[in-house]
Amino acid sequence: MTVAVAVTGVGAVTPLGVGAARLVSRLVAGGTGIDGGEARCTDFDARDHLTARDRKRNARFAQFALVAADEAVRQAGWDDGLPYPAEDVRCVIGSGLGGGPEILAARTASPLTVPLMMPNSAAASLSRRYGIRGESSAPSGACAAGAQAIGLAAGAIRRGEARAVLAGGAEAACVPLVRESFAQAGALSPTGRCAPFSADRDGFVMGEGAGVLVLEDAAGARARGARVLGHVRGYGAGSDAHHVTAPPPDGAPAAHAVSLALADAGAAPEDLCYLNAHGTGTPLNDASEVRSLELALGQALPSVPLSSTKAATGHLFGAGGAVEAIVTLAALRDRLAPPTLGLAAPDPDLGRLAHVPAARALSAGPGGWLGLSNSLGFGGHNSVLVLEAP
Amino acid sequence: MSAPVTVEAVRDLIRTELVDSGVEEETLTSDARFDDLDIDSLDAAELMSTLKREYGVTIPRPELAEVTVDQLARRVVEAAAR
Repeated sequence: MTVAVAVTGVGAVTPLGVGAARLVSRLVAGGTGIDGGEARCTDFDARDHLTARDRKRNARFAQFALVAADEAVRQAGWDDGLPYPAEDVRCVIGSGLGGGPEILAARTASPLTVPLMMPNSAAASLSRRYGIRGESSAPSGACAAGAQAIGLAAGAIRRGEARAVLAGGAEAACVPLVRESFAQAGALSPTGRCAPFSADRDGFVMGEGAGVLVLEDAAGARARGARVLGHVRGYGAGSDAHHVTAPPPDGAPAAHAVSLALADAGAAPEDLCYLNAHGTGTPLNDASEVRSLELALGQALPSVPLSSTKAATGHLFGAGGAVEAIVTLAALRDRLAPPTLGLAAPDPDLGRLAHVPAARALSAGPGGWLGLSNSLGFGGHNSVLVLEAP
Repeated sequence: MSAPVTVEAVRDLIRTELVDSGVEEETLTSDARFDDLDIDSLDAAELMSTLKREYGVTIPRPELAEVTVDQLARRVVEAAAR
């Protein structure tokens, strides 16, 4: 890697509240966004943030993305406009289902039906809002989409194709059609709890939200005096080539993605000081994911604090990878791992792991403050980020 | 049979729709011409689609540019009565 990729702004809308700082503080305090078996962004009122026209012309997932992006852009100090030529800035916002779930429920066509449904509509909306003229796009690798967006963005900056990218993910799919489908597939928790790594875990809980990061060529960020929150050090990805929804029990393809991400970061397993797992709380995911981490990290795994924040946020699908990248960066920056909320009786079949039942202090690894965030999507999309805090 | 469509009801619907699209309420006087309002082609298409859904009336898009909010409301009432 020649060009370092700096994170200069983050923003989030999640079931834990509006704002990345609120997300992180409530996570480490043991707060939860799950209520009644679902994690909705109940604190979010679009009227507080967006004009009537912006509300009408953006589906809920894109509204989340706009508000998260405004926060990220403010933090990056882009208030007065883009700090680079508009053609050198990109926008990549992933989503699993885009505006489809919300718009299909309307059943009445309008000229806005298609523009609101399009999974790329959040990225397109951000490009208009900030005058971004570089490529804008929307990876759609289901629950890995947010991590894919960050991986694509970092790659473009490293190759010198972009000076900066607004990257993240957004999702708002808490509608009866989607809920029923997940329930019938056996992925949704019938008890309405999300209990990753627990012996009695029984599925995930649906969530919604968005996470957006401002990524910049680190030299450019330095030159304009921006505060650097951290770096995207590595990205690894691959596909299971196995099944529509289930992960392969041996975890080998996801392990390969983890190894690729570490190699990309020039890091060894021992360098990691925090793991933010995909950790959906389905029996299959957690078993396969831990298997993949064992394969990729070997003897280092049992000593690296590992948590799944989905226990508190619910499953944010296409937003998950981006929100969890923000959470991972905050954990590394604050030297404090957020917990796997409610983890009282870890599944012994998962082997020895450094679980985090309550927020715990982190120790620096030999390579500094490096962490890993896993995202594994339906369809067999594996996307892994290695992140670093100063 | 449903009650006859009134100009007032149509005008209210048009105003609600346009405010919903982000048009400032105070600019929506009854003699405001559509061409002078802060709307684009998609807003106009949305409005036409709402009028068709509510009253079964199709107003050709080019006609919109020249008329005022009140004139459009009367036009819809006339067409709905046919």
